[in-house]
Amino acid sequence: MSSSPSGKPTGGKGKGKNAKSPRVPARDGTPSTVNTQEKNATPMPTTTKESATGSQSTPLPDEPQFKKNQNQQESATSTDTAGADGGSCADQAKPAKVKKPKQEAVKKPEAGDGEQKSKAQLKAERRALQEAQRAAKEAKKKEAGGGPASGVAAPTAVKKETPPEKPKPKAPDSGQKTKTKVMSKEGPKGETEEEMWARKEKEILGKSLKIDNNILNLGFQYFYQKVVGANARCIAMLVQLREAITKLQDVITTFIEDNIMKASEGVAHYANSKIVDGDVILVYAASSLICQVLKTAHNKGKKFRVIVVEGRPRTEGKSMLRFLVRCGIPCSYIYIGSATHAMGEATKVFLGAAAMFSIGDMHSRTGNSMIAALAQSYNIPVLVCCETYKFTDKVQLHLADSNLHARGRELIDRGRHNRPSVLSAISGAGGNNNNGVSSNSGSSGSGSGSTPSPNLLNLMYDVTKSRHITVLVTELGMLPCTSVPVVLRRQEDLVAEV
Amino acid sequence: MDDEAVLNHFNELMREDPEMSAAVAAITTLVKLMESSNAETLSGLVDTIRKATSMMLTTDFSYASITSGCEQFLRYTTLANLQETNFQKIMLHRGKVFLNNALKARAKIVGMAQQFVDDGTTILTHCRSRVVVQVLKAAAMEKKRFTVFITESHPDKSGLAVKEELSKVGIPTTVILDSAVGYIMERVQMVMVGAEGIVENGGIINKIGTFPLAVCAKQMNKPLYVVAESFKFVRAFPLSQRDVPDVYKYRASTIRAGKDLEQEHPTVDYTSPEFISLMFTDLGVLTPSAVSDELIKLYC
Repeated sequence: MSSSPSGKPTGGKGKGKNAKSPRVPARDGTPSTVNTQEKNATPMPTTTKESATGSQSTPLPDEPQFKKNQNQQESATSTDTAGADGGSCADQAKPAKVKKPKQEAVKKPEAGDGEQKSKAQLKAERRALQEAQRAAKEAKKKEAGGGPASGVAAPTAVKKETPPEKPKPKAPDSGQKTKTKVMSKEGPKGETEEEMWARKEKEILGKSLKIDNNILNLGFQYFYQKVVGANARCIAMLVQLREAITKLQDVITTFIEDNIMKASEGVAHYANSKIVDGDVILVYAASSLICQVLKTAHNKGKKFRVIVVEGRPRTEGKSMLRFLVRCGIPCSYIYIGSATHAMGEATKVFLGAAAMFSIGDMHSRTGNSMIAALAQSYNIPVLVCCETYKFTDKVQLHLADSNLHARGRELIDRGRHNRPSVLSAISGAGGNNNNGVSSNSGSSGSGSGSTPSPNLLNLMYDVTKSRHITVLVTELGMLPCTSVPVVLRRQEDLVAEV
Repeated sequence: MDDEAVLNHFNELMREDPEMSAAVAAITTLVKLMESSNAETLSGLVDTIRKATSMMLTTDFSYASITSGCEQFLRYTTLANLQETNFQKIMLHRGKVFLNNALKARAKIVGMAQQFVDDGTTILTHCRSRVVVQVLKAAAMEKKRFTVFITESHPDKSGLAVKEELSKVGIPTTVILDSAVGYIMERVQMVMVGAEGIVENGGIINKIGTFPLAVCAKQMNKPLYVVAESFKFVRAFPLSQRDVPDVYKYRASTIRAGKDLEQEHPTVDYTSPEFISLMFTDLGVLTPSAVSDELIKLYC
């Protein structure tokens, strides 16, 4: 561990700027880093669309605005796969978006160089493009007699100036003048058609690492016109997609196998090292992972007792209890209201997590945070079991930020037969009974007549603060919960290496 | 080298240079072992190293220190692209690099940590930590005036030796009773201790008496600084004192004798990270939570 001990790069060396991009919490659940976007096909169309429409709706090549567009284009092309009309691999990835390629084709060629070029080159290119557009704008102005129409005309100019780079330009006859002007301006850049094709080919090769080989192959077959004819192309693509889906199915199967099934075994292994004879283990509600941990420990012949704490209204503790009793583990069963009583004799608390936030907080079934805080105050270690696939770079500061609500009436539901009487008894009592229940949402619309209906809030999850968690047991071993971001970063690095 | 020779070499090193940490002595021994080893397979060599490690763990020197040093050494030397043909060469080279870093670690820490000793400050320390003594000496060399309180540190009374050592370089030092920690705490500005092992959550395993010291310091809002080399990072995660394995807590000879451990004094205790303000290591000044990050880099 002395200075830079590991032979492996840990800081994402040589993975380009993406790997080092600062992590920000995702705003709306979409993956927040560029890396994940690259893996993910869905966010791509949006970015492309943004940039495409962006450049069109910008009336004039106004400098700062234009720069912004360029940046967008860059980010779009880094996720893009191949030249817009040449390889058209990008099109395959999103066959549903039919109109997209056209837009790309209009504006892509300038921006398509992506990572192939150095910064300086890119800058020079941007400059050239700006000049060209400025020239186009002036030309338009002259054409329109410098009239006020220029603001409207410019977008067409932007559109027009690109056709020279299109492989099959279907340049409309109108605007011929503009086109020639632009071409002459493009001249110094000195790209003949042959060079353009060569460049496109290079582009595809440059991005080939990120694409499945078969898809890439197909892209080349399209590119060199080896596969021609609408039906042939369509069928070829569909066949490839079918194969890709099969591959994806394998990936999913492996994921389930490795990251969930095997990981839970790993967690059970590490958690077992912390269970000793004579332990009284307190668990809350139900967790399949905790079940496995306890079962493994029992099978290894460890002598311990379990206190199952029950929560309402889902009463999941019952299924936990059933499982443990069937395993032959001695159990007690108490309601969460009596948890303080159980804390007196418990030696360890095991909790299962639904997710771990990157600041080390735990997201899990509502009630867990109470148990953890209580255990902490009784100085009982809280062990959270969690496979690392549940780690997320999201951060949730408030309980109700993105909570799932269950039916409010479940809270007062006591079985099918007497529900009406319970409901009416509560609603009949008026506002007093509402005080216990937060009234901001989840009201059950049961009230009829003049009596106000009770506001019922039935939350599914809560957030346990990291300071209430002693240790996080994962398949990587035991970690403090402050290490969640480190594990996330490593996972990302591994993905990038693959 | 057979087991006997390994043990002799290790004991020799510890005797020759009392300033050498048990971990460094163990690593030096392992490098020597690799040099003389004629293992023909990678797993053979790894087995030899493991065996030598377990031999050295039978001595009465700090278990935490030796086990962390050797484990990291093994991990570091094998964390490379090893082929069956050249593994001896690569592993030996990496082993030497690791040893070299371990030897340099203390000087690095001393340079960093002595800046935290202010002029006119009063420091409380516990037991005899080689690196803490070095830090204090270095601060004195910088012509800083400060006072040191040192616990007597039963059962080996190592505090007395520290007083002698510090007094020689002109640092006013007072030995206090182990039970006087609470009494003296209001008068000190900071607490500085060493560590035999730093566990995964950033807590430390150190000479018995560190934990009450830390609790007291926390209660009185005095910062507790831990000074230790990074080769003391060990893959263990104690949940409580009872959860610390017996091999850490009792001398190897005590365990071997089969005595009733309930009747024996533990030699170390565990201090959890919430009591620690900062750690001065050769990787830099770390918060306790950074320890796990470093260990993940090395082991996962």
